[in-house]
Amino acid sequence: MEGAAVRAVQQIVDGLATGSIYGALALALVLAHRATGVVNFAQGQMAVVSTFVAWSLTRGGLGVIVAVAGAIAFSLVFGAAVERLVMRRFERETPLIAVVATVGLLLLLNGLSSLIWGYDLKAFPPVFSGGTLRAGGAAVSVTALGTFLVLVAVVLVLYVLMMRTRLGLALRAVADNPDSSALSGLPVGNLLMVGWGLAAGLGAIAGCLVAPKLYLDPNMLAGVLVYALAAAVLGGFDSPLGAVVAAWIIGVSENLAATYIDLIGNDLRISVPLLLTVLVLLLRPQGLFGRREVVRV
Amino acid sequence: MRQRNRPTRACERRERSKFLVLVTVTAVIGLALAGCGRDEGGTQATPGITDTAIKIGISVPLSGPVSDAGTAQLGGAKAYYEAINAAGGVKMRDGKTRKIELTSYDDGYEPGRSVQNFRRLVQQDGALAVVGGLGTAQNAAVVPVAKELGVPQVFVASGASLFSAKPTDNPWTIGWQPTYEAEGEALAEAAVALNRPVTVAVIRQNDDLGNAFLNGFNKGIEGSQVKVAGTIQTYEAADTTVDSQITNLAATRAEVLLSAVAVVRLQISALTKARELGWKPVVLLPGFTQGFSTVLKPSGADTYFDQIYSTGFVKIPSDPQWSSDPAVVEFTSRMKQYSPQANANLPNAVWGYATAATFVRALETMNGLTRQDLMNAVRALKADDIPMLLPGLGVDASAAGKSPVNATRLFKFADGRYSQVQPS
Amino acid sequence: MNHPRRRLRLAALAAGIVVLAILPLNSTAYTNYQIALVATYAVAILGLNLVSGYAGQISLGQSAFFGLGGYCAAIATARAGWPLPASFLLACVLPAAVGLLVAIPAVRLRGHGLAIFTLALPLIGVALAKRFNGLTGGTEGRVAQIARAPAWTGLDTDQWTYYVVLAIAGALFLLARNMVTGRLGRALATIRENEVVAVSMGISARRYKGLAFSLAAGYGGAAGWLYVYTIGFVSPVEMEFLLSINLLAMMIVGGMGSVLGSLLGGVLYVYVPIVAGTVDPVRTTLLYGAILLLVLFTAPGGIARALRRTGDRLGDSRAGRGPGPPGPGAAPRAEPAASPLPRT
Repeated sequence: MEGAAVRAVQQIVDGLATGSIYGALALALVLAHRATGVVNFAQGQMAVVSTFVAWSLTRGGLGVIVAVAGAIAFSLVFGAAVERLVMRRFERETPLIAVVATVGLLLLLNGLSSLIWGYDLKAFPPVFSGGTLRAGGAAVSVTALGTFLVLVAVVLVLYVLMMRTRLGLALRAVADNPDSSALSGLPVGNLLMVGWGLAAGLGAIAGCLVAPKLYLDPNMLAGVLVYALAAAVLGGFDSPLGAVVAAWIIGVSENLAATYIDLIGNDLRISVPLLLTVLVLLLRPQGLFGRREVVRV
Repeated sequence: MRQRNRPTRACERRERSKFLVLVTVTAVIGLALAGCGRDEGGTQATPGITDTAIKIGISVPLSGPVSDAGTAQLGGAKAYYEAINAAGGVKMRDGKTRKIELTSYDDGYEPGRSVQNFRRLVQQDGALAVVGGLGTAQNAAVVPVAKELGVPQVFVASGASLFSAKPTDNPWTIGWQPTYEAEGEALAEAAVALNRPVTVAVIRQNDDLGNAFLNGFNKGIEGSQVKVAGTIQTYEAADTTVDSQITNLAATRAEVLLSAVAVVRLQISALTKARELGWKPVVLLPGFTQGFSTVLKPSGADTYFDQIYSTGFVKIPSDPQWSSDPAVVEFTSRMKQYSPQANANLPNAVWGYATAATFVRALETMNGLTRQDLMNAVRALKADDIPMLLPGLGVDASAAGKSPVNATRLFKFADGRYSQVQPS
Repeated sequence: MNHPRRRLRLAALAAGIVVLAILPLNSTAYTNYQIALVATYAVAILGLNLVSGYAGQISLGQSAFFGLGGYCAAIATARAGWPLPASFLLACVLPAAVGLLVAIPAVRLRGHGLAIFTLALPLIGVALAKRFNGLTGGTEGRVAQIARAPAWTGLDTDQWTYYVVLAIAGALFLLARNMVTGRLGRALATIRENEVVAVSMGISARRYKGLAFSLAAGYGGAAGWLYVYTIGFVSPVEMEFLLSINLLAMMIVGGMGSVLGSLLGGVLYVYVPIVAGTVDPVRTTLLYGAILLLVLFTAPGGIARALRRTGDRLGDSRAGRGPGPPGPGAAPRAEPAASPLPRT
């Protein structure tokens, strides 16, 4: 392939890889929102805590897959507990108060992480082997490819869960209309906890997937959060598939814009996903994949 | 609507008594405040120095994202001062030996808070001087305040040249470590020494640090066969990766990579990506992101690249070649004893320790006890036995316009360790 | 309105003003500047309250306007030599104009879209501040010592700064109070409760929301100007997203939709880190988050609302009414009638 074409393809491949990192966290955001209607600014921090747990397990001698499984189990309980003990109080408040509550949670967990595990960067054993694949001049690391594939797999599993199982149906019912669901006999409280538990589990997967590349410290996902939020919003905040596809679009577009549009360059690359999101929302308020919301007076 | 009755007499009496209470409270507060003398903290003849103690202050980020660097900086300084105190104190020229009292405040890396901390240290705590602050913008904000109050702001831990560059404009401020320009210039040596026409691909931080680095590098390659490749890639400290930037640089097929990346995780990202792309330039790394265990091994750079160069001016405690060096051994044990919660492996710990040593040397050479006397001693300071500086490097604050430690050495990585490159 | 209660309130206010007026004459420059900073951040939070508290539109972008106002002060006065009133006007008007521009898409967005959009402002703002480093001083920042006490006052610079900042802040607070107790406040309250209903009542939601955004931005810019007047320095740190989040958090803790709450927010913003620092600076983040959650749990309307409720309850019981519906003895609150709590 021609040099310039190779470079463009590489930027796209890199964009998909980085986008997968954003998408992993975006999935957790979307799930938490679907369950309780709250935008959880602390999702990244919760994921980091779970990743630290996995790290501690590997230091204790467990293999990385077992440690990750352990972290996922931890996060299911952790997420449920956070919903019950902290967020339950704020789910009926205005979105603003709920957001600020999640910010408080973010700070609390950040402080706790640094207290327990410290600030220095920690290496996290990769789930996928090192090594690079090359095709037609473009290179992609096995880890990036693995993350990409895991993401697709998770989206599929979520789809099956939400659309084809009774639990999924119950979760969707509670998200749509908690009062009617309660009247229909659904255990609303428990289902909310399940929703957040699952979201936290997704966060744990996200954290453990990206930690080998980003290196683990309390602020590992701080930068990623903004992109994940943009991806979730662009996707419509309703659809896991939407969030992931939006994340890929964001990753690729910011790379291409930074490389080929001199006005934007590297320092303004973050404007691309944000303004893209806003533009789409202005034209299509439900986002790329969301459902149109009808407000009844 | 109900008729608004006149309030009953009992009600009125109650309200009147509340009113009187309020007036009394106000009067008391007013009198109390009048009692707080407006002591500028400088009316005393020798502020900050008594017969037995010297009071100094420091403002560093102890909370927030860079708190590990701030905690390390403070920890290093504390370790040195406490050790000196344990041995009796600082012996000064008037014959008295005094202990050092260090007051520290957190500024959360916000310039506004650094300014207020400075005022607090001077006006409420009566410090003699503020020593070893961290952060460029944070200390730049303090420079005019130091000048206004006539208080020494010395040995600022920043490589920005503005702190030492204009001693006549800013007589009360001085930096300490080699400037970012000096580092860039030192790295240029490695490229020039290749002695053939080469292009250099550059990635730098998008701020004054990155700018200064590049300026120094450009100065160092002036008139040589080395040229910087067309587009310079930049990154932000908060970026997730620099993959995209490295991809663009690799496409230039330059022979040399100046990876002026100041953030450890991003330096790992840069070198890993270069390796994955199959690009093998000569690599130039800045002093803060050169570590074998922190950067080279995790990215696989130690076994992949043929030539890696970096700079340094202090002994890195984790570097095995210094493991039996007496200064390093003493540093490590003092850190463990006096600042166990600080990370002694961060460069900031070494800087904090060495700036404290430099300051103590200035105290020892002071003629007199006023702040001006301290500043005179600082500006005349020449010492080549400051602990933790590389052999042959010393402090010379008398070189006007230059930082006190104004040289940095070039190192080459080979066989698992960095060795100094002898100037040809 | 119950006359003795009103007289009491005015007396309290007068006493407060007297204390504030004498204070700088007897305290250190450090203290005076701390109080000036409290006033500065209170103004910024007040602006945020207008758009987020009263109008109910989430804004994560207040720091962008704060920083912009600060840069106006630094560049216009320190660099280009504009007289102070001119740069102050610029620091209010330019951000307000940007706010109006930003409002055009913003009023058409809701919830998450709005959050992301306002989030973009500080991020892009910081990038631009770095890009135009010739003008702004880049990451090294720009020194801008623009405060100077005129000789005829016989005051020191810090005392003069104190009076100027407090006077301007006081005027801005008064202006805001008049706005929210009047037509604007009522319109915003209706829009916040249920936008569709408001529109059906003939209130142009878009116009009022746009106005709220513009006002918030103007107040943010004014606060930025006051900041530079006090600290004498500006850098991209003043525009950072972290400041936006902190302002939002302090607004909620101080009291959403409350003028008094904004003032409390300013006090908290300046003093909570100092208090946390004396406990243990390394644990500051942890304490901050814990305090935030604690206040939200116990008093989601903010401290101002909790104080008012306690104050009213004390007032009622002392007037001999005891538990029971508040009679004419309870003074009506000078705030929008609707509380922000119930969700539609």
